[in-house]
This record gives sequence, C-alpha cells and structure tokens, in this order.
Amino acid sequence: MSNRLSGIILLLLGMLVILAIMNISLGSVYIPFQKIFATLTGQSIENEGWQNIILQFRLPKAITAILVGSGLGISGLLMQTLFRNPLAGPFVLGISSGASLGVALAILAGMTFGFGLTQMGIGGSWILTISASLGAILVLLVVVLVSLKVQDSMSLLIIGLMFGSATSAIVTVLQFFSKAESIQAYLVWTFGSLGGVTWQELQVFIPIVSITLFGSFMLSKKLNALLLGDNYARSLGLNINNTRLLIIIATALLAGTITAFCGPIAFIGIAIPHITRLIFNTSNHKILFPMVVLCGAILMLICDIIAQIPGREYTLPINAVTSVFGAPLVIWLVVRRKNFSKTFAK
Amino acid sequence: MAGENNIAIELRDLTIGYHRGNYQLKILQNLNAVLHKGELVCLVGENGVGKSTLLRTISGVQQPLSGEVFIAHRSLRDISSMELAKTISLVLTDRIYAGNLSVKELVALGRYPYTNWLGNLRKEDQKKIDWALEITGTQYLEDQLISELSDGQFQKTLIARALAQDSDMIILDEPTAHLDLVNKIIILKLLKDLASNTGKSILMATHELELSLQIADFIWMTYKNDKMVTGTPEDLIINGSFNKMINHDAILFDELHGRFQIKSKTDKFCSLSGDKSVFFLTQNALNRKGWSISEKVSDVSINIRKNEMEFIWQVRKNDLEKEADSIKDMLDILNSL
Repeated sequence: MSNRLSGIILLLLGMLVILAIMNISLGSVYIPFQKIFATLTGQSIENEGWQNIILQFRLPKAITAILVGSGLGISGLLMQTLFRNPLAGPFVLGISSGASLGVALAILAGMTFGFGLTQMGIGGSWILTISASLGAILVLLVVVLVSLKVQDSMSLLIIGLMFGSATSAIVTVLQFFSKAESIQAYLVWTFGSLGGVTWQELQVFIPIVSITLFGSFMLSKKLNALLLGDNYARSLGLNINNTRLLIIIATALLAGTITAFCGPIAFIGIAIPHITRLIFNTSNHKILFPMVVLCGAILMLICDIIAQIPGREYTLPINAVTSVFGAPLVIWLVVRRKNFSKTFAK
Repeated sequence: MAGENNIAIELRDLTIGYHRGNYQLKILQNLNAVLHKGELVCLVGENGVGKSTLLRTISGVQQPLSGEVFIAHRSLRDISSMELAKTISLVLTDRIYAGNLSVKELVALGRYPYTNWLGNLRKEDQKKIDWALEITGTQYLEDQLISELSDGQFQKTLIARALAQDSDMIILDEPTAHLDLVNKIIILKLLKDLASNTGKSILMATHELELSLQIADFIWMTYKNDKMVTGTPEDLIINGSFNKMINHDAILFDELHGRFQIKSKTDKFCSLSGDKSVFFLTQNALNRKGWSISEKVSDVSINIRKNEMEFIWQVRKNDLEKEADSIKDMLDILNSL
C-alpha cells in the first residue's frame, strides 16, 4: 500500500470519528459536549435523561448509520462489478422489493386480521424486521435458483428487475385493498429510518453486517478478475458460477439485513461506489473496498445529521435526505470529470 | 522443431458448436490439427465461420460437441481450470469493464493463478510483470489508466497481461483489429518474436491474410461447411486453398506475389517493357484503368526508361510516339489515343 493511500485512509478515519461524534452531539435536545464525552467514555452523568438519550438512542443510531452506509455501499459495488453496469445497486435483484412485500403483508394483512402492529410496541418492530427478512430471503432464494440456471449475468439482471416489478405490483394491490392507516404505517416504513434500531437488534445487526463485509473483502481478488469479463476471468482459473453465488449471497445478506432493520434506503448503494471511483480514480477492489466502507459510513452520518435538523423536533425521512443531498454531489462529480463513462469501461 | 514430443495443441476429430435444446448446432466438424511448441499459427477464415468458437473450445471456455482437444499431450477434460490458467492465456476482443484500472494493475491480473487470496504480489510476480511490460515495450505506460490508451497501446497491454500469466501457450482473437498498418505490424512482429525467442506457442485468429503469409509458421484455414486445411502458407497457396477461401468474383489471389487483388475488368491490351524498378507500379496503374499486359506484340506498347533520377514512359501506338514523365501523364496519353 502506498503512502498516499495510507494517508487518505487515515484522513477518512479521522473524518469518520469526528462525524460520528458530531452525529451523537447534535439532535433535537441540546446536550453539552463535555457531558456527551463523559457518557461516551463510560462515566455516569447526573442527568439520567441525557444519558438515556445518548446511550439508548443516539449511539445506536450512529452505529446503525455507519453499518448502513458501508453495507449498502459495498453491496452496490458488488452488484456494479458483477453486472458490469453503472446503474446496478444493492436492490437490483429485487431484495428490497421482497422485503417490502414481507412488510406490506405484515402491516396490511396484519391489520385486516385485527392485530395491528402499532399496538404491539417493541414486539411490533421485531415482527417488521422478521417479515422484511423473510421477504428478502424468499426473493434471494428465487434469484439464487435462477442464477444457477441462467449462465450470463445480464439475463440475471433483467430477471432481478422483473422480480422487483412483480413484487412491487403485489404490494400495490395490497395497498389498494387496505385501510388508510395501514397504508400510512407502510409508507412510514418505506421512508427508511436509522433511529429505530435498539441495542438488542444491534446484537444481530452488527455481526451480520461486519462478518459479511469481511467476507466480501475476501472476494476482492475475484472481483478484480471479473472486471476483465467472464471469458478472461475464467481463463485465469476463476470459477464464475461459484463467485457469482458468493457475491449474490453477500449482497443479499447486507442489503436484506439493512432493509429489514432500517427500511429500503435508496440511492446510497448506487452512489457511494461511483463517488469512490471518481474521487480515488481506481477500479482496483483492494483499494475501493476500504474506501467504499469509509465513504459510505461518512456520507450516511452526514445525511443523518441533516435529517435530524439540529435543534428541531422533526426528523426528515432519511430516504429523502440521501437523495436530495447525494444526487447533487454525484452530478457535480460526474460533470467535473467529463470522461465519466470511461471510468467504467474500456 | 516438429516432433511428436513437441506438440502443444492437438485437435482430434473435434466437432464444435452449441447445444440448442435437443439438437446440436455444429459449427465446425472433424477438425484435426497440430500446433507444435514455439510455433506461431494463424487461424483464418471468413466472418462467422467459427474461429472464435474454436478458440473458446481450445481454451476450455466451451465444451466440444465431440472429439477431443489435447494440451501438451493431455486431454483438456483432465486439466483443472487452475492448471489450465497456468498453461493457456488469452487475448480477446472483449471489453474491459474498468477504465480506471492502471496498465500495471491490468498486467498484474495475469498473476491471478499464482497469488494468494488477497492477490498480493511477491517478488517473483513483480519480476514477471516487469518482464512482460518490458518485452511488450509498455513500461512507460505502467501508471496510465487503460481508458487513456490508444488502441495500439491497449493491445500491447493485453498481450503483456497474457505474458504475465506465464503460460506456455497464448491464444489471441483478432489482436490487430482496429489497428493501423504500422501498429498491426508491430503487434504481429512482437508475437512472431515471442514465439521464436521464448518458445511460447501462439495461436491467433486473424483477418490479416497477407501479413499472416509473412509471419505464420502454419495456417489453419477454415471454410464454411467444409474441412479445415492446415499447412505452411506457401503450401496452401500452391494447393489453391487460398483461392478457394476467397471465392468471390471481385477478388483475385495473386499467387506469384502472395497478395490479394481487386479484380478489374480488362478489355485493352498493351505490352510493357523497360526499367524493372517501377514496372510493378506501372502495371498496377494500367490494370486499374482496364489495361491488361500481354506478352504478345500488340499495337500499343510502353517502354520505361530511366533518365538519371527520373523515369520516362514512352507510349507508342503504330507510328505515334509520346513521352510521359509521370504515371498520370502516361494514363492521359493512353486515354487520348
């Protein structure tokens, strides 16, 4: 690793720490910085309310933001490399549509059968998570089965998009037959949220995301070979079908888990790999990987800071912030680099 | 060089093609051919005849319909993909989906079969990469991104990548497509030198018939719905295989010079004599304008004379005689006769 690269990684790590602290410091309730620092370093402070806000709400939210940003960034990178398509993202295989279907069934059908999730409190959020996971796993299984049958990646991409459309259509039909309040509950879920993840849930969330991230990093040599196209990759001794399956499973685990806990968070997954490629001018996955993790986490923390509009009681839907804030950034990078398409193919 | 122990690639009764549901789409049938170590073989044939399919089959990307491919005396079926990666490297016309890869990173990917799970390069890998860059003359490009390369530079880089793979055989699919003449020759010369200096066996599909006559040790000539013919370029010219391949009214294979000519209608005759140095060019111009050179005495005759540094074309018809100091003048005079 070159000195310049290590320098950049250190810089990004520094930014990450600062942004994480900012993220925890800012919110609808003002808490003095010394108190925040004291709480984070394990000392107890006299104001128990503040301590609760910091430890039970803001800290898990910041951790969630980091996991979501890096996880979605990596799954986007995996999909863009597998499909060799700059428009691919974590959800092209229909993972988020599957999760939406699960959630829609739980909320919309659940209300019809009279056990409204809204009345179920904490248990309700677990039910949402589980139904989203089941939906995502169902779609994943179908996609994996199809990928074993279909030889080329482009067909798989199209099939994934078709699955997505079909599941979205079913959700639309469900909405059509549902009451207004259940549709609203479903809509709120689609806005995405980083704040709803509890410590209990993080015990599941952290290990799945970090182990999958590490596992996908181990694929970086194979991903680099895939950049050359299937024929070259095979001639180098790469087992394409195997690798494709591993990539799909890793993506599904990351995107599926994140969607299950936080809702379908758009944009980040497609944008982060592009932003990273444009800034660091490389396609080498060994370099891209840590950069995508860091940039994803940083961007997500920034989006979350914007979303909670410091000093106000409202929180904007995170899904809207990522796009409104991220789109201009991507446009600016693309315009500044006039040969953008060349960063993707020769 | 030829000998039974020296066989790099052998095709035995090979039939290639695709499975289409229940029936087989046969593209080329009953192929028998041998490529020896250190030889450069050009695979020629018209578009769509199945050259790429054959290369894909030999490189193990695609299964044969029947028959067998032997790589260094071993059936392709018995060779694992990792072993094959160390035996055959490819140079294809496929797009590379990463303009942001540097030349060195691309070449380093050739070390894929030898590196650990992270792809870390050891000293030995580094050495091979440097050697590949040096021999292809691409060291000066090593830090450039491949999206910034010209077509010629890119092709050399792809060859360097194949060399870094350190295989005994290199299979190339139209490595000179899209290149200008000079770059074509540079690439072909590079391949020729590689075959003779490093002992690598090279099989290359190409449309450069005339150039392949000059560099190929052997030519594998494929025809639509017919047997593949193999031999030295000269033998294939002598037995008429070249003419058979170019079975078209508009093209003529000039067996004397080993080149293709556009057939032009000739309905006028003249005799041509004199200085040999521009004889061929004069003949070329005459042919283009519909004149055929006849050995017999005809009423129009042209004599080329060298006058110190200049050439004079004397055009004579019966008693009329005119002199021209350029080919254009000569053609004008012929026109006015």
